[in-house]
Amino acid sequence: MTASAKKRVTLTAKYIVTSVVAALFLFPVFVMVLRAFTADDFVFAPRFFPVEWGVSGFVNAVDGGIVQLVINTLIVAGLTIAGTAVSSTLCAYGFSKVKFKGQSVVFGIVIATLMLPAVCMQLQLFSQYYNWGWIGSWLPLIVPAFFGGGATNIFLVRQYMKGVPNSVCEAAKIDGANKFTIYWRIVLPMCMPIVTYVMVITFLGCWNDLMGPLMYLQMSGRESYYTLSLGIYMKSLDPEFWQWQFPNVQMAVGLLMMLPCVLLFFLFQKSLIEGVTMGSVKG
Amino acid sequence: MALNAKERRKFKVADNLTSFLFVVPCVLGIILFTLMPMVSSLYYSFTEYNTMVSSSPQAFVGLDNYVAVFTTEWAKAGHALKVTVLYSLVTIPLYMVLGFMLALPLAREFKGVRVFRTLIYLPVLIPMIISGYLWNDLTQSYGHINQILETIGVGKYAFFNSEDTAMLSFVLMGLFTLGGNMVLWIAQIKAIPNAMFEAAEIEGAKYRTVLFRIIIPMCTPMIFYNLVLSVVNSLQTYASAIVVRTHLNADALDFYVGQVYSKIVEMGNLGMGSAMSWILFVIIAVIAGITFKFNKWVYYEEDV
Repeated sequence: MTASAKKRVTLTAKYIVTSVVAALFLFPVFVMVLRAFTADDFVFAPRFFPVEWGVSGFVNAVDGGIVQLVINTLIVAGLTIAGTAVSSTLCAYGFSKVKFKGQSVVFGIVIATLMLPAVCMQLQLFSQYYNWGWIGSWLPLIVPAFFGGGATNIFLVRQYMKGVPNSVCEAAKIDGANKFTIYWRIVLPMCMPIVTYVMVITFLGCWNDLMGPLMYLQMSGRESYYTLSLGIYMKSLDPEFWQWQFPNVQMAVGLLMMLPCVLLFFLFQKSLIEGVTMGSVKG
Repeated sequence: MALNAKERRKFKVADNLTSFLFVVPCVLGIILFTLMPMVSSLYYSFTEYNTMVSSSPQAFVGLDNYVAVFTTEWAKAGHALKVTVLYSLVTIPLYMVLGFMLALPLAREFKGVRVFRTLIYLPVLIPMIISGYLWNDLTQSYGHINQILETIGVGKYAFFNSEDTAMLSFVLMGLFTLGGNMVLWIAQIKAIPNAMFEAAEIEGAKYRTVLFRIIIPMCTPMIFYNLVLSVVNSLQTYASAIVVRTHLNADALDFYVGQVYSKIVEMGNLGMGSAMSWILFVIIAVIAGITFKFNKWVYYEEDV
């Protein structure tokens, strides 16, 4: 066998193996599609392929008020993304491009919070929000994002910022720019790849979040504030929305929820995959 | 420009202060949303505090709660701890190795690689709430998986509907979210300088040599990072389990954090619940500490 023929065989084998593996991972989503497009009458006696196809799952989802849930979730996600982007880059700048006494100690504490188990504080956090009158509002979901935006994000942006040459900042300083101007006009625009990564990751987290809304919104029963995951959960328990117990409605909602996420992952794949090592590549 | 000593000191203080201003958001955030709840939880763990009796601790009891977890409460707490630790011991290495094997062929660019990565990542994007409904539906006796098993002649499997099979089913279900792990590995493999692979090719190195002499050693920082975070997360498994937990598998999927929540939310026993959460904290801290202690095998480039 010639070298090129051998190479072609290896490549074909690679495609076949990868396709089989991909098909395996596609299985749950494939079943979601089958279930979502099953007509109402056949959802509880499933065959592998629907006996009768139908879009009533999607129709019932829209009739059941999914649009309001989407709007709510978009508002919460939008504000959280804004807060995370602004405050994580500010803090990262403070940990990389300027110096102050005790900087490394403060940074060490920030990173150490990554290791703390959430369970040690979650319930106390709840009672703290309760005392502040925040339960039943979006404040517990949004406000913490404005205070640092998460240790992982600060860490990743800081790594990336370290790759921005100090000479650029020095030059601006000599031209009379203050620290904030240097951050806003010079460093931040140069960090857009990692900021994009942080924003996309934050969106995916908000869009699918169940535990946060379940803890902070559910008890108040203020339905007009429910986000997607919580709304779906509450509707499936509510006799008034009996259709939401149907697998075709549930899977239709699932597919609708996944759509923007899949698009984002496909489009931003490069920055999503390389985001975690972006800093070290540049450095 | 000559500044006298006093002016220079004043300038230095102002410079320190304006620099510090940038990190004020996260410092405040840690105080408000991490430190304050943690301190009160630590204090409550030394008290008798039932939220159904009154809205403040009833009595200071010292270490009583901690002692109780290992004596009167041990039957339940110990069982949950055993389930959680066994689950972690099995899944941390399993998911790491399989995630690496998935990433290996997909780290190189080739035609269609973006589509393959997206397809494998797809199950990670299924919202948790939907994933609960989906896996319940998939694994029922009439569900799609049992239909396949029947057709190929294996016969029906109980999955989440039995104490004996629920844990294995839970581990298998987790396999479908390996895409998240894969993405981390791809990132690390892609960050390896191409020059290394070129040098290996010129030297005529076999693939096995490249794998064990270049790829794996260069990935050790990611292995380490992954290991520490997996320990922290895996011992706190909760949300992914409650969506598939029913009365048919309550014992098998009895994770420790679930016990903590039921102590506090269902029984209002904030004192005992807090003590249990701090015991978990100590366990995690000890394991993470050991991991840090034995990190000689991690290859570090010069810190940037």
